[in-house]
This record gives sequence, C-alpha cells and structure tokens, in this order.
Amino acid sequence: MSTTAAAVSTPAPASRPLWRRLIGFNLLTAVLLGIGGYYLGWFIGHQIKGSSFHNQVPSSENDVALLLAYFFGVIGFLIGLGFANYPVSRMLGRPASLREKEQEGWGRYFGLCTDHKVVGIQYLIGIGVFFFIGGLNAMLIRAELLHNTPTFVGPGQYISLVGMHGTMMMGMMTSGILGPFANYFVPIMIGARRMAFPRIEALTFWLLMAAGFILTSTIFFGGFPTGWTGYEPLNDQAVMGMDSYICFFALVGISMCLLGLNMMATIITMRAPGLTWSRLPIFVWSVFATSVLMVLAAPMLVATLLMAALDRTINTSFFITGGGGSSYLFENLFWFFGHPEVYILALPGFGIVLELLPVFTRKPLWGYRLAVSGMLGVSLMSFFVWQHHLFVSGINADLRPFYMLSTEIISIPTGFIFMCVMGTLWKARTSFTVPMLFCLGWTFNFLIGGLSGVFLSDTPSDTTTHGSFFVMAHFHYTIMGGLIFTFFAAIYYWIPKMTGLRFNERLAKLHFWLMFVAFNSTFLPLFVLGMKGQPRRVSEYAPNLHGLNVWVSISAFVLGFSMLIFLANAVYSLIFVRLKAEQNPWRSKSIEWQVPTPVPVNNFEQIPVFDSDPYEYGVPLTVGPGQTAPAGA
Amino acid sequence: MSSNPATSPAELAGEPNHARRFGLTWLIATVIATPLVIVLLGPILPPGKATEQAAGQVTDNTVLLGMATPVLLLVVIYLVYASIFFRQPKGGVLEGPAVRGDARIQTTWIVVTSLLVLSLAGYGTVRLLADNGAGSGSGPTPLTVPAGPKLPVQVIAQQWAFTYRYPTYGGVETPHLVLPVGKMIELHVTSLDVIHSFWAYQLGVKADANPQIDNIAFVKPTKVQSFEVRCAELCGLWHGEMFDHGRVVTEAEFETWIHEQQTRFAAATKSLPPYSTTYQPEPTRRGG
Amino acid sequence: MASESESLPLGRMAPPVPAGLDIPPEPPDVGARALSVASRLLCGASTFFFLAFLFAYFYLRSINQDHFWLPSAAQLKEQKELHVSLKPDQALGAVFIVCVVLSVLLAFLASRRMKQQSQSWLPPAIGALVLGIGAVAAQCIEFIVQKFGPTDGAFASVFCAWLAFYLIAILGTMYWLETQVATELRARRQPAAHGDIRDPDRLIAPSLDAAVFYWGFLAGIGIVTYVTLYLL
Repeated sequence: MSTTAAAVSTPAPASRPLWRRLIGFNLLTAVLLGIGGYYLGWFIGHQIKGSSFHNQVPSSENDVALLLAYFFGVIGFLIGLGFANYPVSRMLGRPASLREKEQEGWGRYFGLCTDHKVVGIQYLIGIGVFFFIGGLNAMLIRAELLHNTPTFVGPGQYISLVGMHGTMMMGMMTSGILGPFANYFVPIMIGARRMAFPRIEALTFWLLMAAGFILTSTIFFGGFPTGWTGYEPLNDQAVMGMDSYICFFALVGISMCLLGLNMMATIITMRAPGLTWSRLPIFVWSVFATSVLMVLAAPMLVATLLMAALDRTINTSFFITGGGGSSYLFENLFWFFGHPEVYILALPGFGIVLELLPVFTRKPLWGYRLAVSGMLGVSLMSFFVWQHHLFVSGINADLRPFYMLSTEIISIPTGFIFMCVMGTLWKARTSFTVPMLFCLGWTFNFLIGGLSGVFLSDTPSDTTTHGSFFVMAHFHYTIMGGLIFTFFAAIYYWIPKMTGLRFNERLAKLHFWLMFVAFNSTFLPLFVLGMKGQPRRVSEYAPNLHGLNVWVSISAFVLGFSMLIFLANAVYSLIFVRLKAEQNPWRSKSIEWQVPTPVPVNNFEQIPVFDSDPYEYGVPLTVGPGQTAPAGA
Repeated sequence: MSSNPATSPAELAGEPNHARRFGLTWLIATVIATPLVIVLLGPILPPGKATEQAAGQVTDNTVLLGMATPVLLLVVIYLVYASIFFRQPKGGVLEGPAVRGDARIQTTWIVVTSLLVLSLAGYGTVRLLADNGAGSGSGPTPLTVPAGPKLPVQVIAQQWAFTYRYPTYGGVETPHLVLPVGKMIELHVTSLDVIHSFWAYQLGVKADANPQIDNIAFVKPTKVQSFEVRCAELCGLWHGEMFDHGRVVTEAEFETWIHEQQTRFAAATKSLPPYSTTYQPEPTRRGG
Repeated sequence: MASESESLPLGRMAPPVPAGLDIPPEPPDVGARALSVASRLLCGASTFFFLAFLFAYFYLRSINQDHFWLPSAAQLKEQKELHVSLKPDQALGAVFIVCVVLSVLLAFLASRRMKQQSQSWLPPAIGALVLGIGAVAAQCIEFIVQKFGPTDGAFASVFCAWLAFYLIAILGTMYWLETQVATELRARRQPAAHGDIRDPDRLIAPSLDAAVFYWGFLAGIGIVTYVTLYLL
C-alpha cells in the first residue's frame, strides 16, 4: 500500500474532450447505475411478490421490492463511483496499489477520492446539506406547533416530519465532526500522510450520502411514523416509508462502524515518531473514544434493523408478539446502540472544546490526563446505562436502581471535562474570537443539558419528565448545544486552514450571538412545557400551553434565521469576496497550522518528530523555555 | 497560583486573590439562591400533590433542583468571572501561566462529584422503593407492593384511545377513568397493538403500554380533582389526539358511578373477552 | 508579536527537506500493523453484531411469548402452516461446524508456513477456502431441507436470520483469503509484472495474517452459533 507514487505528476485531464471525461467511474455513472440498480431491485422484488409470502399487506405495499431497490441502488451507485474496482482486481490477484490521487481540480470533490483532505471537505459540504434539510424539518414542526390543533400540516405529515428531523440529525450528524474534521485533521495532527484505509474512508462518505438520499426519499413512500427510535411494533405496522428509515440507519451504521475502525487503526498505527499517547492532541483522543463506540455500538444497530427488515418482509417474529417475538427486545437492542449513539454525538464536541481552549486562552490544557480519562470513561460507561431510556416501560423494573446508579456515575467522567475547561480558563488570557465564543456557548449549554439529565436519570423524577418535552429540551441541549455549537466552532476555527479563506468576523459574531440567544430562548421554555405535561411528538397539545409554544416557535425561527446568517456569511466571505486568511491566524502551536495552506497532497515533506504535546502555551513557571516538563506530567 | 512574568509588574502587584473572590461570590450566590429556589420553585414543581406518588415526585424534584443549583451557579459564575477578569487585552499577545494541572484540586473535584452523584443515586433509589415505584410502570412483578387493600384498574391502550376495565366490578370496560380518593389503586397497563404510554399527569403516573405485557403502577390519590390523561409514546397517526380527562372522586360517588357504568355497559361487557392481564393482539400487521 | 514565547519555534517539524530530494516512503510495516489492528477491531464489531442475535435468542427463549418460541404442531396448524418439525438437521449442522473448524485449522497452518517463509502455504490456504465455502454450502442445504421456515415462531426466526448473516460473514472472510491466494497464484504465473509483490512484508503476509486471525475469531463465533442454535 504505497502512497508515495502520488508525487509523480499526472498529465492534466483537462486536455480530453468533455464527452470523454463523462465516461468512466464518476458521479454521473454512479447516479445512472444507482437508478438502474434501483429499478432492478424493484423489478426483482415484484417478481418475488408473485410468490406472495407476505400476504397480509395491502397490494400497493411491497417492502421486499423497496428494500431490494435500495440495496441494488446503493450497490450500483458505489460501483459507478469505482468502489468495486479495487476489490475485483484484488480478487483477480492484481497487486494492491492506491488509486492515483488527482492532484488538483474540482473533479476530485465529486468522486471517489482517497485524499483525506478532499474527503474532509466532501463530508463538510455533504453533511451540511443534510443538516439544513433536517433543520428545515424542524422549522416546519415548529410552524405546526404555532397552533395547538393540527392546522399547517396533517398529523400524518407531522409525525413524518418529526421522524425525518430526528433521524436525519441523529444519523447524519454522528459523523458531523468525525467526518469533516477528524478525516481532515487527525492524519495531520498525528504526523501521518494519509488515513490507514483511504478507500474505506471514501466509502464511509459515499455510503452516508446514499443513506441521506434514501432517508429523504421516504416522502415518496408515505413517510414513517415512528420517530428516530423506530419502535416496534409500530415499525412493523408502518407503510413503505419505514423501509427508507431502516435502510438509512443501517447504511449509517455501516458507515459509522467503518469510519470508527479507520480512525482507530490510523491513530493506533500511524502516529509519527515521538507522538506518544500522552502527547496526542486531545481532539485525537476524543476521536479515539468516539471511534470505540462507533465500532462496537453501530453493528448492534445494523443487526437490529436487519431483524426489523426481516419482520417486515418475510414475516419473521423477532418483535411481533403474535409470533413469539417481543417489542421489549427491540427497545433493548435499540437503546443498547442508542445510548452510545448519543455519546458518539457528544464526545467529539468535548474534544473540539478542549482542543480550542488552550489556543485562545494562551494556556496549556489543564488536566490533560483527567480529560482523557473522562472521555474514555464516558465511552466505556455508555454501554451500561441503556435501560434508563426505559424506566417506565416495565422492562426489568427491578434493575432500575442499578441503571440509576450507572447513569449517575457517567456524570462523573463528564464532570472531568468541565473541570478541565474551568482549569484552562483560570487566569487565562482569553481572546473572545468566534470559535472561542462557541466553545463558551458549549460550556453553558452542556451544563444545562447535563443538569437536566440528572432529573431524567432519577426514576421518580423521570416518571413525569419521561417522553415529555423535557427530554426533548434535554437532548437538544446536549446535542445541538453540545455538538452543533462545537461543529460551528470547528468550522470557524479550521476553515482558514482548509480553504485559506476566513469568515467575515462581524457576521460570524452576529451568527453566534443570535444562535446562542435564540437557542436558549427556544429550548429553556421546553423544559417548562415538558414539566407542565406536553408529550413529545404531538401535533395537538393542551390549550393552556399555547402561549409558551408560540414563544418557542418564534425563537426557533430566529434560530433558523441565524443559520441563514451563517450560510450568507459563507457565501459572501468564502465565495464572493474570498477574504484571505493568514497562515496561522490563531497563533496556534498545533501542527496542522505549521504545514502550508493549502495542505500538500502528502501533508509533510518529511514525517515530523514530536517532542511535546501541542499545548506548549503560556509562560513556564520555574524552568526556562524548551525545558518544560513533559506533556501530561 | 503563581506569578506571570508576561504581565507587567504593576499589574502583578495589583493582582487580586481571584480564588478567594470567586469562591466568596459563589458561596454568597449559593446561600441566597438555593433556599430561594427551593422555597419559590419547590411548591410549583410538577406534577403537583394530588396523589402520594405525585407528592413524592415533587419532593424528589425539589431535592434535585436544590442540588443542581449550586453546581449551575458554580459553572455559570465561573464563566462570567473568567470572561471578565481573564481577558486578553485588545490586540495583545500575552500568554497565560503554563499550569498543566493541580492534583489537589482534581482529587477534590473527583471526590466531591462522586459523592454528589452517589448520594443522588442512593436518594433516588430510596424514593423509588419508598413510593412503591413512584407512580412509574414497574413491570408485571413490581419490586415493592404496598400493603393493604388495593383497587385493581386495567388501562387498555389501543390506537388511539385508552379504555379502562374494573375487574372487581365484573370487568366492566369504561371509556373514562374515574378513581376513588384515598384508596391505593393498582393500575395494570397493557396495549392491544403498538407501544403506548399511559401518562396521567396530575396523578404522577406514567407507564408504558406494551402489547402482551402487564405493566403495573401504584398510585394513591389524596385529593378530589380531575386529571389529564395523555399518551406519551409515539404510537402512530393520531398520537397527538390520544388524550382524555379522568376524575378522582369520593368513594361514595365512585360507587354510584361504577354501578351506573355496570348497568349502562352490561350488554357490552358480556361480549368482551373475559378479564385478563394481557390480551392477544389482533392478527393484522398493517393497520395505521 | 512581542511576547517572549513567540520566539519559540511554533511547530514540531523537522527541518525542511532540500528541494529535489525524494519524499521517503512511510515505514514498511505501517500497512501491516494497520491491517492487524483492523482485523482485531473487525472482531469487536462482529462480536457485537452477533451479540444482538445471541441476546435475541435468549431473550425470546426466556419470554416464550404465547408458547411461540417453539410452537407445537397444533399451534402451527392453526396458523395454516404445513411444516411440522422445528428441529434442524443435526447431521448437516455437524458438517457445517466441522467444515468451519477444519477450515480455520488449515488457515492457521497456512499462516504459520507463511511466517516461516515457506512457499508451501498455498495448499492449506486453498483447502481452508474450499472448506469455508463447504460450510456455507452445508448450511444452505440445511436451509433448503429443513422442515420449517422463518415464520414458524421465534426460534425459527432467530435460527434462519442468525445463520444467514453468519454465512454472509463467512463469505466475506473467504473473499479476503481468496485475494491472498489469487495474488500468490498470479505472482507465480507472471512474476515480472509484480515486482516486489512477493515480499511478505509488503502485501500477502500481513493481509493473510489479519485474515486468518479474523477467520479464527469468526469461527469462534460460529461455534457459539452452532452450540446455541443446534445443540441448546
């Protein structure tokens, strides 16, 4: 697996005529083969339907056909992109060689590219698009909740919107930070020239795009009524749109698992000389902790969804009580994945905050080991708490004290992160740049999210708050306030590195303040609404809660508007005006800021040698420069 | 902590004792705010005191809020304090002190947070067991069962309505829930199709209705009042419309009401399947 | 930029390489170690994937909803099912698991010979491949001849789904082994076209090692599968 061949320049492909360039393994072929595969699967599905082994479904419904159509569509899409070339040539015994990296040009962003920096940008744009689709769903949900009876959309469309919003965000945003930023920066931060498995890296991105497209296509098949949890037996009862959900989440699960595997293999094997575990940037540690969860939890999700798909198609009875199944089984399996999932969303945020704080406070990271053990602790503990989602379901009610305990215990390692944030801020020289503001926003939001989690982890209190808007507010504080705020922090922080351009700072600050205020104005009242008895996912609520709901809806629209400011800023600063950024605008000591911008294809001319962690800020206390105590001491 | 050579000597001399100042601010804020929160917010915390279980939850919520307030204040005041006093001067390039940790502070933090969360878990467990499940669905064989006589009431959820059966009154099935005050009620929650959740807000009861599962919750109403019933688990198209009102009435009123129901639904009761803790769901797989 | 610390070197880079110098290749063992780590991680992922089925097995078995874990013939007849026996064929099951175990043993032998730089690793590897495919075939025959389908109760569901996905995992592993065999065969046929491909550090040895490790682990899962589904 040699990567060094890329130094040899290839003749510019621009010399070929346009029609010739359209033929080959590219996005156009992929889309055509995807559509072809889709109709092939649809056709086969209808042939099978002739033998009719799922006879209790209305004739217009054919889950076998739709699932096969999605399956063949994805396969065709991947073949069209060129993902089959390598496996087939290996099968024929041809030697392994990395596909030549395209040196330059826009073409590489629209196809299979094994350059981790290109994949990072692809992820950023791709996930951004689906993030905005998911956000648009949220706007529609809040528009409906302007009135306490269904007016704007019907109840069926409403629960589909709720499901699509939830599933899109929980699915696509699992890779929200790992996709763009870890792919782009982890190899650079550890002094490597590539990821361990560049083809798998590209595959995770294109799988995710196919998945997002499939989820969006659910609107053509009647949507799905289950929300992102997909509970059985409602899942089994639902119309064909449910298959989109199953297919989406299974693909996301595979993508997640491969992404985590690739990240872990890269971090374990490809660190440059001198970069010991105790010198690893904290962001890389958070990626590592997240990857552990991705590799182990995601397969559980895939297995669960495969069982659900079998229940829907060939009438197995995993979750159907009539045939010997159990709906509890689904709840157990789903949340065994589902709880690690929420930490998959939260942990990269911890990493971003702790990575950025030293830069802007001009201090070393305070309590490096505490932060690492916090992240690994959260990661490990998250496998032991899943039944706190089921406190009132009647599952293993005798075990509730145990799950209460384990859930409370998980707040200890989370507290470590706060300790590190506060320690780093102590006597700091803080510059309130936009990324720093988002990090401070995270600290406040995650605090509220964490403290409200205490109420949910306590069964007596959870009896009222469970399944209400309280839960909804809680996890929006941890995920939107945790993940999305750090997502934006990372964008503002690293865009100068990724593009050589920067954002207009005034607009960026406006974006932060509007987003922060609107976010809190949206979700703080939801705690009250939940405590006053409004269940989640309802299009009709008690009339006395109307005023507060209108308030929340208007705040939500402002929150949506703040995203438009971001978008406008991106278009204005990065496309039209093209504000040039300095080489190292934040005066960071981390290695990614020391390589040239744009980063060369091979990142480094020579593999760097590390002699400390990247947090050598501040004025040493007793020893002179260059003699500081080793990192983590 | 230490001197900072990067700052000018004049500033160094005037450096206040930040630790003491911050600590005092937090302490004063906590001493003022915590009792205020408990006294002002405690009484209005959900779900009210209409039942023993609901009152227990209010106590629980108050304790949690009382414990959360100092933590909230600690971090928020810290953020504000740090934002005001630990700034980079405009256009400055000053460096902070190169402190990488403090074993004593870290140990204290770990010990304090551990004690805090362990005591919370212990307290939650005690409340859960003392209140006989605190109104939550506790499965077919609850760990703690209240002593004394109990009135069994079955809650049957289906898309998209709740109905109620009173097995001790001939298994009559009623469309609304009426309960006698001052009696321990044993709610058996089950479903005929998908998962629902029976949420009687003012009673402080929430129990998932699972097909083929008998989920038991105990509740003892202490006040005559009406209460709201809602479905709290997404159950399909009309999930949002799945609500109803119930009443807690005096025992005499209850007896009158139940006998009225028995006569009114006499014919319907005969055609119902005999009372059972769970019912076989309809065989259809696609309904909603 | 007047601060004292600004004068410190910012990066941790080695001095820049003079122009015209070739970029040195990455250490040769990086690919090998990455494959080895990946195979271990894949083992973890596979464990959790099949753990879901193991959990489903014991969960549904312990609940035995409406006695539909192993429904009686009468119950099935009520559902208009024509099949009668819910017992899988023990002989075919035994063939299946014996094929898996023998295949793994041969794969280990191949890996050991490869480590001793022996040329003779190919026959056991091919044997492992054939036996692995044989295991899949045996189980497919079992699916065809067994007297129940996936709709006949909870056990039947778990049996069919778990084994089907296990077979897919075997096929994936066999593909992995096959790439090593194919590479070796092609290299023997056209050594010129492959240059240093035979260098065991470069390609075949680490990949074979990782594949065999994974196959060994998967076989362990297979034994659990067999014991659970055929013997319990």
